[in-house]
Order: sequence, then structure tokens, then C-alpha cells
Amino acid sequence: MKAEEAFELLKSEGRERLTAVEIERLGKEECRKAILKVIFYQDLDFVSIAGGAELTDRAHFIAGIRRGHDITLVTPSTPDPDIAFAPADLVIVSNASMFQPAVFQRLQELGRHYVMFLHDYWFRCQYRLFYPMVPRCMQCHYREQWLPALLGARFIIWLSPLHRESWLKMTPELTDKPYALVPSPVSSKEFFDMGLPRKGVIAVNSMLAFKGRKNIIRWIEEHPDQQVTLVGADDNPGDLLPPNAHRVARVPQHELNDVYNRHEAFLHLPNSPMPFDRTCAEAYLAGCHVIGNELVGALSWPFFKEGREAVAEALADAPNQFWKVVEGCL
Amino acid sequence: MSTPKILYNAKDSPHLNSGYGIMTRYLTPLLAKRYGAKNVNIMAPVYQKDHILKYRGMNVLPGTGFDFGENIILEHYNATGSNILLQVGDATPLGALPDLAAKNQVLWVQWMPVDFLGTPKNIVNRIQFAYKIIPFTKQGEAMLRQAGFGNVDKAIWLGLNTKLWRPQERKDLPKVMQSLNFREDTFNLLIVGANQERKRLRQQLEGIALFRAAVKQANPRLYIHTTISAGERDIAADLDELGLADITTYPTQYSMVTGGFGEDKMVAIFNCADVCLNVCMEGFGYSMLQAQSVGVPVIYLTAGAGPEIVVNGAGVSPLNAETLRNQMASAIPDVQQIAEALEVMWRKRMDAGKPLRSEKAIQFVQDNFAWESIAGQWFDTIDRIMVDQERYCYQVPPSSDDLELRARTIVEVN
Repeated sequence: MKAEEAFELLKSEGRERLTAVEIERLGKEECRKAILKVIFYQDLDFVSIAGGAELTDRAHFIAGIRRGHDITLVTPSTPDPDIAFAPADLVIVSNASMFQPAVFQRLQELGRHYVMFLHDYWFRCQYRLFYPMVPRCMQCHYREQWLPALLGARFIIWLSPLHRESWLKMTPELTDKPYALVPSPVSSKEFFDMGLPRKGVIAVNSMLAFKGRKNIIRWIEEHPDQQVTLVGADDNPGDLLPPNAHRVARVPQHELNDVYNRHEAFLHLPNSPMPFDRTCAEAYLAGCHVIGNELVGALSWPFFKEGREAVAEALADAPNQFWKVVEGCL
Repeated sequence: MSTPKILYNAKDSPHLNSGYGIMTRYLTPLLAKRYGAKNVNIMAPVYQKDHILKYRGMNVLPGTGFDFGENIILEHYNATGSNILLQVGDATPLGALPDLAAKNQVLWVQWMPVDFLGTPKNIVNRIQFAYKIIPFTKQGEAMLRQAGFGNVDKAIWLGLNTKLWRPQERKDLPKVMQSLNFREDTFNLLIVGANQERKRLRQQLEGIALFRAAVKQANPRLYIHTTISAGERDIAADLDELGLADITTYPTQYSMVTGGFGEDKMVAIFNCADVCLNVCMEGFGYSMLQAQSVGVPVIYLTAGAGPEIVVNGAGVSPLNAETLRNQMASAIPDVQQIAEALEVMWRKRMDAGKPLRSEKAIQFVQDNFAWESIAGQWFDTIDRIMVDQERYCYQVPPSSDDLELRARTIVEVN
């Protein structure tokens, strides 16, 4: 039995772990691929918090467990800090901006293999989600501080072609680093066309400056015939909006599909490169026509040009892609 | 490096003859010369109200109250497009500014005296949010570093107009001597200080009274440059009680408020003194510097800035400390030692047969305190802050031109 078969077996039987007999049959090397002791660094407990990165990590975490891996989540609030350095086959460094560079130095000293799973630009920019990509970024102290941690990684995973391109532009040292591109997992069971009557345009969290607030306002002003619903946070909630726009308070994740389904189009015009932007994928799977720009990471994936089925398939398979990459890098 | 746009708030207008007013008067033109007058705006809530004045091409912005003008500091900062707030003076009265700095709304650089013992929470809670703390003295720098502040930078002393503050012959100043009730055969004592409690005027007067009682032949005269009866203490009552009223001269309040004491007049006054007393906890102590610039010895407190600033004089130890209302501890000088120091100075004066003048002190001031030299240290500090601002991206930078272009390139997916 090969590791792939073992995974399929676990999946088909809904089990999380291989039996001792199965492990014996699998053999040491294959077993190593199939059952990894993994430590997963994250700033937040993604089981209870539903930000974009946390939703992605949650899906990968569950998929990893289902594949039989022994995964320990470590956050900065993990009571015993030594757990972060416990013996492991691999450390996955996900959204972990609160872990200091010294942590990675220690991982290297201990000879631990670690994979950098990048969700944004926190190694490169203190503004983390906003990455201006100006020449002075080459002199940024963040770059100096974190580059050794990145170079010490066994592998880097980015969320989109645009994400990697943006990183390499200001961190060319990573060009030859082994890498993979894995999109954010979005389920077509959660986001789908409900066949509801649609009207107007929706934008989600676009009223934050780094998400392109001024671009959105400009677009709204240039399209007075379009009614635009602005969902979520706004950096300047007191500002008057153009008459064809209105704000809606935060929509819970489980109600988003319904809200997308009531709109014809989804608008997203960031002004710094977005690693992925799962809302674009969600809205698209929910049947919206997507109006974005060249800075939306999701839209840099070729499968977005191949229709909804291709998008649904690629995003549903993201956790498997993620683990294949992780297992293959050892 | 991008150009600094400085909002300079020393509270006092450059036209005011206070220590902070004089600092503003000399430092800001040098800052303007380097960075451009339009990039240096002076905030002067004291004596500048309801309109904007000009000083050497710079705006002098008003305040709304007799304080640091914190209620409109952010408006001034934003309206002038400033990227550095150079706040000068005591940190303890600050209320709103630490909040603004904590929210990154201003880049706050505090040039401040450390005139307290220990580091009370009152201070910590405020200055921890400053981007940089520049103490007035090395002693202050060491103390704040010891207290654990990571935002302390190299101390920068205050400057002096070293072309103006030079020794003068007393014989050329007969009218000034007369106005101070000083004579060649009297032992002429000088105290300058607006903050009467912090300056420990009471203890200094007690020391003089002890000296006078102990050395009957000394024939001291005292000139106190302060507002005698409308300040923090009733100095006239102190003088009466201590039996010093007959030897003491002080300026009228009217002459003080009508500009009767410009810098040139003060230079002459210092030149007429035999000894300057400044026996109190100082963050810097301008009068000690001014006295030395003309060679006059200084009696100072050994706690605080005194030992660092004074190269010619006599130190007096603190006898005790007092915790003030704002939780800051202030040293109280030993009155007996003040009297003893006066006696030592008087004997030297008698032995010399002429006023005591220290060439070493004069040279020390000339070498270290010219405003050009102080401004040079500020240029280094400000330039470094600007480089750091870029390197550490203190403010969210705009996107690159390339990103702006790509943001406008619409991609649609049906």
C-alpha cells in the first residue's frame, strides 16, 4: 500500500488515523509520508476565528488530520512555549507574524524543516496586508530582519501567481527557492448560484484604504447607474457616499452566499497586490460577475479564465494540493 | 531622505524672554535655514493667540490656552503637513499628546529636562509613547536609560548666544550695578528663577541668611530676578522673615512684563555678580550656563544637571527629597552647605581682591554651547529620524506608480 492509497482509504472510511497494521504494511518511508508529526504555527486559533487566512488554515488543518497527520497548532498564547520546538517532521509556518525571527533561528539551529505558507506580506512589510512595493521597500528593516527566516525555509507556498510575483519583485533572493502555488480553499457547497433574482453590485471589505477604498469610490462615481452595496469595514464610516452606494453592516460568513446571490456583480479594486482575496472566489462561485483589477491575486490564476467549474474544482482541491506539496517536500 | 516638516512646540513665543522663548528664538531660524522656513512651524500657545504671526519667515501658530496647546496640536500638525513634532519642555503636564502619539497620529520627539529623582509612573505613562526622547543632559539620558526607556536618544544640551554672552568689565556697567544695589566692595549674589518652588528659593534664601549671620564682615547684596509677589511664593514675606529684605533687590513686575529685561540686559546683570546661586534640582539650568559664559562661579546642587553643566563653582548636596503633587520627587538642598559654599566663595573673592572670573568656564561655554553647534546635533538627530521613518515606514506609504497603474487596469470575469 502506497501513501496515496492510504490517504484514499482514510478518506473513504472517514477515519483520521491509520492502524498499526496499516502502518506496518505501508513501510517506514511511505509511513513517513503518510503520517507526519507536524507543528503548525499560527497567530490565531483558526478553529474559533474566521478571518481569510484562518478559514484557509482551518480547511488545510482538517484535511491534514484526515490524511492521518499528527498536527499540533501552536499560537503565541500556547501555554508551553517549548511545544513550538518539540520534535517534529515538519513545521508549517502559516500566518505567524507574532513569532519573532529568533524563533526561526532556533528552528534552524535545531535542524527542523519548516515550510513557509505565506498569506500576505508580513515578513516584508509592517503594514502586512498593504504592500506598497516602492523602491524603498528594498531598504526596509523588515526585509533585513526576516530574510534569513525565509531563506532557511525548505519550501515556500504562495496563494497565487501574483502573490509570488509581488514577493519576488522586492525579494529576488527567493527566486530559486522551491515553491508551490496553492489557492485558498473555497467550497462550492458553501458558495453557489441559488437562482435568486439579482440586482446591483456588491463589494466586501473594500472600503478599507489598503483594499482600495478610493478606487471603489471612483468606480461608484463613474457608474451612477449602478447601485452598489458596500459590506463590511470602512476606514471612514462617517464620510458621505455617492448617492448610488449604501453601507451594510458586517455580514456573517454563513450568510454571505445569500447576499452575493442577490447581486449581479462583485466589485473589488485593491491598490496593493492581494495575495488571493477569497471574497472574489466566493462571489464568483455564487454566480456574480466579477469586476476586479490586476492586483487581485485570485484573478491571476489561469483557472479563473476557464469558468466556474474549473474554479470550483481547483479551489475544492486546494487542501489536497497543499498536503501533497507539504508531504513531497520532505 | 524626505524633507522633515517640523512643528516646533516649546510653548513660548520666540519673542518671549523666557528660557523656552530664547531657545525658540535661536534654534528655529537655524532649523529653517537647513530645512526651509516653510518646513518649520513654531507653535507658541503662550503669548500667541487668535492669529498667525511670522518670525524669520516661519509661522508662529497660536494656542487656545496658557499651556502646551495640546487641544489643537493635532490640527496644527495636520494643517502644516508636519511629519515631526519637536516638543520642548516638561513632559509631566502633557495629557493629550501621548494618546496622539500612541495612535501614530503624530511623530513625537520630546526634548526634555529630567529634573526629578527616580522615574515616577506619571512620567513613564507619558513619555513611553514618544518616538524619541532627547534629554537636556547626559545625566538625564543615563537616568532614563537606567529606568528602561528604549526610546531615549543622545542628549542635546541647550544652546546660548555665545556672541552675546561674553564677559564685560563692571566698570563699564555702573548703571546696572546701581540698579541692582551692587557695589565693588559688596559680595554680589544673583538668583534667577521663575519657578520659585522648584528653584528652591526658600532654601537658597535660608542659606544666604545663615551665611550673613555667620560671616558678619561679608556685606552681601542679593538680586533676585523673579516675580516677587505674584509668583508661586510670597518672596517678600520670606525676605522679611529671614532678615534679608535690606540687602535684596528685585525687579518690578511692570518692568518684567514690559520687556525691561532683554538678553543684553541680562548679560550685563550676570556680569555684575560675584556668585550665581542655582541650588536646586535642574533638568538643565540656564542661569548656570549664563553665569559661566561670563566667568561667574555657580553654587549648584550635586543632584541633577549641575555637575554636568558647571565647571567652576561649588556643589551642594541634597539633604532630603520631597514628593510633589505630580508624584515627582525633588531634591531639597542642604541649607548649611549653601552657607558654607558662600563663605568659601567670599573668601576666594576677598583673597583675589577682584571679582572671581573663570576662563575655563568661559571657554567651556564657548566651545560647547553655541547654537550653531547645538543645531548641528539636531540636524543629525532629525536626519536620522527621517531616514528611520522611511526605513521603518512610520507612515503608511502610497502605492508605487506601477501598482497605481495596475489598480486601474480592470479585469472582468463572467
